Amino acid sequence: MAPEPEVLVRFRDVEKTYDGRVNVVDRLNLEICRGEFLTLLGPSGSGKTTILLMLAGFEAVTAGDIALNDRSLRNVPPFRRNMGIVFQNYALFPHKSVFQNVAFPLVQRRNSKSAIRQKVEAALRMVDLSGLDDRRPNQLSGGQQQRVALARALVFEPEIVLMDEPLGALDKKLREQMQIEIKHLHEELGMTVAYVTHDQGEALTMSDRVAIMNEGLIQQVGSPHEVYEEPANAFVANFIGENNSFEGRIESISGSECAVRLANGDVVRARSATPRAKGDAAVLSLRPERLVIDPDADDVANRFGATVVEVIYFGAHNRVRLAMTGRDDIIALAPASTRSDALAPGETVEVGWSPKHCRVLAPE
Amino acid sequence: MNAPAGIAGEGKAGPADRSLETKLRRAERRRSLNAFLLVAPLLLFIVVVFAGPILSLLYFSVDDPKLAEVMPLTAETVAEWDGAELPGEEAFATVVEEIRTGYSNRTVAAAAMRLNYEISGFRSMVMRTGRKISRIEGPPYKEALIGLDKRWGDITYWRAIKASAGPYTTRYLLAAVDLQRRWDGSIGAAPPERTIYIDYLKRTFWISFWVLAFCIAIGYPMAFLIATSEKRWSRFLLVLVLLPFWTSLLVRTAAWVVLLQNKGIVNDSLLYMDFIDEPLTLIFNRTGVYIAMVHILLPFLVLPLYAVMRNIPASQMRAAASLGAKPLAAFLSVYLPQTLPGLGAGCILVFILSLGFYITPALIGGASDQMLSYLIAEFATRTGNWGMASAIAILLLLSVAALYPIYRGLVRGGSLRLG
Ligand SMILES: Nc1ncnc2c1ncn2[C@@H]1O[C@H](COP(=O)(O)OP(=O)(O)OP(=O)(O)O)[C@@H](O)[C@H]1O
Ligand SMILES: [Mg+2]
Repeated sequence: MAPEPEVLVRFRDVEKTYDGRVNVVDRLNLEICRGEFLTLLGPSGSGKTTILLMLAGFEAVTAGDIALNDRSLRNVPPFRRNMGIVFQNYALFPHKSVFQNVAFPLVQRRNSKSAIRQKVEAALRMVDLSGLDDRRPNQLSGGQQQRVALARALVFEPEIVLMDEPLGALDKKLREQMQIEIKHLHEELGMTVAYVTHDQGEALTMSDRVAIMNEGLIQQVGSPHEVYEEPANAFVANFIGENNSFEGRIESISGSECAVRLANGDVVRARSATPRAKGDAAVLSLRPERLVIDPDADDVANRFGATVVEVIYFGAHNRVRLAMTGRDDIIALAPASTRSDALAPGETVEVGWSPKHCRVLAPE
Repeated sequence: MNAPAGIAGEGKAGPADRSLETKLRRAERRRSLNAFLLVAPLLLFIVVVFAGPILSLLYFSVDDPKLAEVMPLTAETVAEWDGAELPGEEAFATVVEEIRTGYSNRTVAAAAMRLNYEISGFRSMVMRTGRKISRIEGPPYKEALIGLDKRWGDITYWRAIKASAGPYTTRYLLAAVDLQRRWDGSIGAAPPERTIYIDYLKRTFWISFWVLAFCIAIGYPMAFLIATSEKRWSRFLLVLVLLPFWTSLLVRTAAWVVLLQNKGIVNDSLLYMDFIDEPLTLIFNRTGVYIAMVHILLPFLVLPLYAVMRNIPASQMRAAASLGAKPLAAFLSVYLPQTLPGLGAGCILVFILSLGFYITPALIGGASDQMLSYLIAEFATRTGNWGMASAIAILLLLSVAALYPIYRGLVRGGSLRLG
């Protein structure tokens, strides 16, 4: 259906070390396509900012190469890379007005006065800041500063917009609002975005593709749905969303399904993406919302008895902690209903889940 | 966007609100009284320590009691005289009597000294008259006095007495700007041999200007280096800058005297490295003064600059570059404007401090490198002319005060105009 995506940025075997001993980015092979919203997601210190800095030209690449439109960026200084950057602290120029801040990239490109005025006004209208032209950054709220930074990074129509945790400093509500606005801008303008965050919710709601990083290595690249539903390894499963993981050993394999015996002797039927052999150690990953209390359907092949340890009320759902399979930290998300509302600690219930929602992964 | 909180309630102000208002006002009055009482000791301290000396300086620069103390009647008589032509017998008689008593109880010297400020040679003339005063035994005093020294018949000397009659005078203040008051009260240029002060003022500003220029040229990159280099380096560099603060000004100046001599370390090493063939004259001239003053004043520029630069995040320059600004453009339009408050503070510190420099030019400079402070010291310690010393000090003070608006403009301009 869609035409073959055109690759805009290509990282090829990129490595980066600051101290000459540890690679903070290792074997990075990644493509960013034109018009896509790609998010780098990973815990603190996993090298996300470093990747962005290398792409922007502020940090040298230790090994490998980064290409933009198939041309190496090796000898291109930052001011010629034509990339819009939104910094975590916004990096607005405090001595310039909102208008001057947004006009800055156009002034550097020697646009005419009238063109500047027109483009800046359009950009400010786009981020809903019309009328604040003469304010200084310190006279704006955090969200407004964020929008100025956004307008400034977009106004010169860069090849790609880099954002390093741009919403980190905002409160939850504003953050969610800005997420949607940035997403809408991306859809309207069709720009390419490389976005860095350590907030998985943000990554899932905004991105076309998510690249999950850990300790300098990309763990998985895929659509939000893929990385959530089909995590490639235990790290991804645990990092994205909530996860119940069970350790065990593969007992039998039939097609894509296999049976795994847990430490306490229980056997769980699960789906295996990668081929593995009988007897292998395995980690099972089960999302809390897939764990059904009082299952009635037939396809719930895994059925166990469990004891309710704790029920926490979340409004739309209840978070139920269960003791089962020899553990007491299994989480189930039960939709609010008379049944789940009435659950009390100490009660015995039957729980179950379908094998297709339970994945067998290699241990970390 | 949000309406200020006060606006919503407006228009509904009734009698209840008014009583609330008076309550508020009363509470605020009580609070400000408390606040005042709290700071009162501090206020007193500031008045005594800062305003006191300045006021006394002002007072000394116009105070002129010497002649009136020693020769009160003379002072009174010449004060009434219009100065158009030689005064009458009565004035001569008063002068003779008061020189006679003044000479015998040895107080006349002070008055003679004061008169000498008006016309040089007046002092010896009075003293000589005093020595011979016993020869005048009776009237007519006019002829007798002129007989002792015929200059007593010259009206300019009488006008000098009138000018010295006190108790207050503007002569010191006028002299400090190369002016004088003529006998008829008009103000005109001082005689050429006394028009040195404006030259000194100009030289003081000129030297300070160059010291400031060198300080900026060296200090700005230095502060930048300290603010942007790695932590341990920046700490080391900062210590290097601060080190001179740990020794006294005098010691540092003396050290430069040793270093800059013809056979000093600087010349020796330059000779040794074959940069020069014969020693450079680095001392007792302007070059030496610049070197030593720049060294001494550099920290005053570097520290405020460093304080400002440290707070400019690296992302500022990165943002500028990412938006397409070449390094120089980024520096000029993003970095420099943000450092202007620190630069302004540093410049004003350096400039004001160097306007008042005394020891360094005195020890390292030649005769033509002395600044206004030198004159103040000269008048205060050598000739005991406190009036003149105070007047020059006020001149210095006013020129410093005149710089303040420039500083304000610079700092404000940094945040508004240059942006
Ligand atoms: N300038 C530097 N010098 C030395 N080490 C650095 C430097 N910058 C980053 N590092 C190290 O590189 C690693 C990756 O850092 P990076 O800033 O890329 O992480 P990140 O994924 O952006 O983390 P966060 O989510 O906390 O921002 C970290 O271990 C960090 O300590
Ligand atoms: Mg980071």
